[in-house]
Amino acid sequence: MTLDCLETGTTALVVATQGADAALLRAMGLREGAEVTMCRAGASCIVETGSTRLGLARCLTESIQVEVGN
Amino acid sequence: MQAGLGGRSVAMVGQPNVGKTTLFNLLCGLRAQTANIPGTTFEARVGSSGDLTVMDLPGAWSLSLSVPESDVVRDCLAGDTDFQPDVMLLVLDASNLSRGLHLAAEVLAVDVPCVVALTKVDVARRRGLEIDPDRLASWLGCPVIPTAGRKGRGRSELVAAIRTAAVPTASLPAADDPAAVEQWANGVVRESIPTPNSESGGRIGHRLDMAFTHPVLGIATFLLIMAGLFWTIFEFAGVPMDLIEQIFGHVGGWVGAVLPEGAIRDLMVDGVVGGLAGTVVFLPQIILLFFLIAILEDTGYLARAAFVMDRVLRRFGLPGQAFVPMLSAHACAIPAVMSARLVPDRRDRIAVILVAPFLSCSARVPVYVLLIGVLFHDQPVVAGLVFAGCYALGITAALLSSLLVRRTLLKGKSRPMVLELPAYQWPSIRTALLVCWDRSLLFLRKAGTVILAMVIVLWWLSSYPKPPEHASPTTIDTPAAQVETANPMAWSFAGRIGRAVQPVFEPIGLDWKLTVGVMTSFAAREVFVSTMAVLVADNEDIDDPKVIQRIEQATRDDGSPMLGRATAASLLVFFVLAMQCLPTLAVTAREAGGWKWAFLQFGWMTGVAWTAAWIAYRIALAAGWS
Repeated sequence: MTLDCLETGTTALVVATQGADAALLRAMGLREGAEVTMCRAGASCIVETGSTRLGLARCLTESIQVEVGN
Repeated sequence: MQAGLGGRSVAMVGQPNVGKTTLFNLLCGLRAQTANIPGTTFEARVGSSGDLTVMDLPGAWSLSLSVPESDVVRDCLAGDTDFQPDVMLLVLDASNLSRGLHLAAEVLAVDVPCVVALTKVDVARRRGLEIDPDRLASWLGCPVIPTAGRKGRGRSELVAAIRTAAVPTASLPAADDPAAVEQWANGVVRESIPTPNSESGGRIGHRLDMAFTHPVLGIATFLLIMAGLFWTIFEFAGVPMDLIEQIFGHVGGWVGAVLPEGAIRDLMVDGVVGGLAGTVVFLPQIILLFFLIAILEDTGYLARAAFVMDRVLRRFGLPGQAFVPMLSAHACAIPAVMSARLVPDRRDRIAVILVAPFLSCSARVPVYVLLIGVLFHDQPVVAGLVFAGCYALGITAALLSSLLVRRTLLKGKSRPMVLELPAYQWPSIRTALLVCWDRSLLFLRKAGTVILAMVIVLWWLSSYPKPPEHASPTTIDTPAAQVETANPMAWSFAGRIGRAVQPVFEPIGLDWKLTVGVMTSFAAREVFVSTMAVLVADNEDIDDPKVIQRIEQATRDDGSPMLGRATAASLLVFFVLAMQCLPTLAVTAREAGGWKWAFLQFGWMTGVAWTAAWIAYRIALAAGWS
């Protein structure tokens, strides 16, 4: 699934970061293997990875593949 | 640019929001200014600390990204700009070490001596992260100095380390191998933070975020905070603005008393002193606006406001950060254009600069009052609604123009919103004051050069030639010529230009006197009312109700009302939309990177204003207004 599908409060692991802005997203902490938590879901969402909180447009969250753990 | 003999030039490198600016202020304080990075069009803060020359390079997430910030940092470190650093000062956020290490792997691979400054150590400690600087230094192969910029700690240690810095010696992973960098960064974090504590301490921040970014509550909070910001500017800028006018009034009086009567005295009193007063009077608004913006930015709120506003502004081709200049423009377009620096993307930034002057600034208010008074003299409710409508018209024109310019001249994909929401913190008054100092110097340098020169030229056009002394209204035949000789402004070049271009304004209902008023108000919009007072009432005291009444009742050469309701409606629309501010054009040219943008702004706004005024005039005539 992609990051934009996560519900608020859900934590997942980043599986792949794709698209034209992949390098920027990786540099900001959304790297493969990083843990990411959805803080506010929506067209513009807020996610947290490590100590970093990011506000992201949907076109970016759609390009990040995540996997929710059991 | 190189440091002086024996000194070293230092390039500060780091990711956004790691505390680079605070550290720069700790090192350089007031001994700093904003300047172009030599050999580039990028601006950076450059300052001195003893014999060190320090350049605060733009925040870059990574050196390998294809964005202007990364390009300029990469070029600078590679020695491809005229600023060639002797030492790199790599700034790492102790509370977010892992992320910064990915940039560190790239920076440390550059063959330049390096020192690492560790910022936000106290924040990291509160989160249970106690970093061992010696272990970190051994991994990075260069000195690591913990600092607390807000508390002034670490400055002398940092300066000493910079003086003896050497090229890093550590074994680093290949920067183009993400997996190796990740493994290395994890190892560095594990070894440098011996006793990590899982307490995050971010619950209050999370709750604040939920409120500040809420679709409804977030907008309400934003409006409340912005209303407070503008109330503060209007409430507190008035007194120093009056004081500046008084001081320049006294200086002008003194210069006028000392110099003999003649052209030189007129130039000094009305041109130089008057021109400086008319420009420097904006300084209190600029200082207050930038102080409050710096405070809001430092707390972390500004990023949340940008997040909320992005949803609204993105529809018009603008990013969320554009809200600060757009709102500031309602006080004055000059600080608004200057604050467009908050917008990261160049195309977005120029779009904001181009459209910000559409928004109704405080200088338009006297004109609105005069014209709405003519239109709806005895209908206060309607007058109030029309007053609000003027603001709405300006906002609409700005947003639609932005949409147009982003789809044509500044065509290109916007950067999608990707904002770091930094941790909330108490703001640093010192940092805010230093920002004010920097912005004020930048404005005064401009005011003292280009703006002053332009204002003097405009004064000269409005003052010369003088009417001949032997001519008197009684010896002149036509009423127009009588007014011309009775009023120096009508006799002046500006007055003559006004008469010459009057046919252009004829279709929107303006006679030659109103055209002269429009032409002379180009120095500043509020001048329109005083020009009209001089032209039709021969008295420039616009606070006198009888003068305003005479303007309202003045007639044209053919005896018809000069300011009929249709003309007033047309003129009102024209003043809402026209670019009638010379200082703003000068600031636009500087901030957008060339006079072509200022000319475009002037041409577009004037064209839109004329067209809208013509439509308003025709509708008013069709509705039976005279």
